[in-house]
Amino acid sequence: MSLTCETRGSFLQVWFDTPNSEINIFDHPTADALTKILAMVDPKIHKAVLFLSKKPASYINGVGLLLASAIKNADEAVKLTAPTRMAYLAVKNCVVPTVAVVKGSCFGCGVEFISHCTYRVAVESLETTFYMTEIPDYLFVPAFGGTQLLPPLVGLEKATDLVLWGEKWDAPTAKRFGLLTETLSLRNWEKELEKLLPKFTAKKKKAKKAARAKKTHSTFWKKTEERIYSLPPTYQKPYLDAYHLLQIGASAEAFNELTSRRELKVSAESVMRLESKMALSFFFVRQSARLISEKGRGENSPAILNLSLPKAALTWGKSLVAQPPETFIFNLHTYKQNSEAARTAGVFIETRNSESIPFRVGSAPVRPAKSEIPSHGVYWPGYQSQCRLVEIRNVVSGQARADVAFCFNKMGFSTIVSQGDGGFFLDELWRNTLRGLAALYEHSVSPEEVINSLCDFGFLEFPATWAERFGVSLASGISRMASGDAQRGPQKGDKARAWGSRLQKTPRINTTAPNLLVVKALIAYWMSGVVKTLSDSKIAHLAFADVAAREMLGFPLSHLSLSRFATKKWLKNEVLASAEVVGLLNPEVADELRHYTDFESVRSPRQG
Amino acid sequence: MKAATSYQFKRPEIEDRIKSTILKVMQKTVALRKADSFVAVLGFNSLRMVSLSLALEEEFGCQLLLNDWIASADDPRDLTVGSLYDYVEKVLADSANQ
Repeated sequence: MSLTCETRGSFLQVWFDTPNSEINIFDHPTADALTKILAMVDPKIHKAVLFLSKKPASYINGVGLLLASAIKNADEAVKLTAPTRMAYLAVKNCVVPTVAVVKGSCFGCGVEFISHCTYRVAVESLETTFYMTEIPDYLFVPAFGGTQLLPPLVGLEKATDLVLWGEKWDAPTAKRFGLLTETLSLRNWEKELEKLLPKFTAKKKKAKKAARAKKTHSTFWKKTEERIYSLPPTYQKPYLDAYHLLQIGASAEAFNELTSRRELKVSAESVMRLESKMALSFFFVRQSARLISEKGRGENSPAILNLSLPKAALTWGKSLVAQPPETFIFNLHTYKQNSEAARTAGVFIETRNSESIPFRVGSAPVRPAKSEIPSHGVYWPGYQSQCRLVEIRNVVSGQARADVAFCFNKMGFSTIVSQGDGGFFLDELWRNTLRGLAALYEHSVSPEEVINSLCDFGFLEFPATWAERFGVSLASGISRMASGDAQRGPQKGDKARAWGSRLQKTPRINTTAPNLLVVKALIAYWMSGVVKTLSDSKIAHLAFADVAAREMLGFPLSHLSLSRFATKKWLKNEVLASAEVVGLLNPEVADELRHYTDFESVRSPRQG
Repeated sequence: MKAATSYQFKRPEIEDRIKSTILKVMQKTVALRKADSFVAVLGFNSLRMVSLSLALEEEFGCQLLLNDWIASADDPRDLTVGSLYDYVEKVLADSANQ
């Protein structure tokens, strides 16, 4: 059963529990069951309906992407989404107050679901995250009321941040912005919820639509539109459409079947676009990487990553932001000792300098020398920018690796698994990025041309953001790479540094004509690294490289993924067959790609 | 890992291996027909498709992400057991020819 319900006192509790799945999916059986349950709610018996999850880390993660890919026209969208929309409207029109009790990830239609409830509370756990996936991950407009219900709840500005710009909110943030009525502590959430229950029997709160709408300044509208028009041309329509719907939602218009259908029509149009279909496909790449990283997980895997200091485990997401720059490298020796000797269910990860407090600043330099890199560890270069991607390297025990990956995945991270000597895969990716940029500098490509070409290709993020993700200086890196590449002759580091500084400051679009050669050269550098890494068996699957390219470099949604886009055929025809592109490549890189396209067969995914 | 990518699979073997992999992922014993739709008949959702993809990679020993197959259908309900046989056969042939 996808849903179970029980009456406790005068409250009806409805529990989401998608069978055979770690996450809850609001599929058609769930929607139909919920509609039936809500039709039977009797105000004489029930004072309120509570919606909870039986999954430890998931509230509602989606409606199932196969539904989105099934939509071929607006009529079909109405038909295919009817059960879900009916269930959501049943929640909104329920005869008693409805309360969403969120514990775990609440993504996309999950956020839309809770927006239909009278009250929303959430447990302050690492896994509780609110994220509207539709536009940032899949380039289609939300279909289940998100654009209409969020602006009245949180205001147009914050709704825009959530829906358009992909902000992820933890429970305290969601409370601060008005999405939540209350937050509950992880330790005592059930007792705290019990105390709050009398509040939830009160009459439905009046929406603060008018007041919030007035607060939105016209300059915000202008700035948002400017930001949308600076996006790659193929992305602008869904962003503009969603923004216009948000503006409508912020007005005093009531949410009903009519407004729901208007949103749905726009959503259906957006999901049928080629860019959206490509973006949807990335879901399978990301999920494959997740499952591979967790392969071999035992039945007694830890429920939560125990970071030695229990309080820190609850607050580390926030406290990290306040930490000064540092690259964190952890070792897993303590984990191995503890788990093998005591059979503890906890995973203990210490900082590299054996500090007992996790994530505390240690003595490791920002970019440790090769000799200082430990052979086992979890590497998180992007913590400053809160880019949630970690590399788990050389963890010999499959169970330990899978446990650590599981915990990080549960906290909303993407994890990549690597092995071997000679540094992390993520560092290799950054090194190849710098090599590519240094080559562009050496061939007198202007920073404006680089940015404009990347934007035209579909990048939303540019070298300055990439450097932030890796926690390093872009200008210094380019300078070091340009002057250190002996094959191109000695370079003046300061000139390269100045070029890098300009690249860092160049606005995202300008009048310079885009030059696809620039993008092809950068992709060639990235792919040469990926090919080498695969051939050394440093990473076990291309999906890891694709996830790294998406998370760290923002590889465009509209091209699916780095390795699925840059196939052997593409590299042969678009890179190696072009003297202009090859001229931008280091000879060693061109040779590696030639060898890969001519000889190397597809490696088995589990090899190494 | 059961097979190397250079091995040339014959169609009956491909079908048998795919059938047993599907059943493994479903954790059920049912009679599979070529016309069975993964979504409408076998109850697959997107996450289970991912599990199937990885199980097939394990079975055949080569990269077999199913997103191309999924994208090839206008309607996910058209993703049948038979269409998966065809897709995997093509991918394996391409791998062997590289």
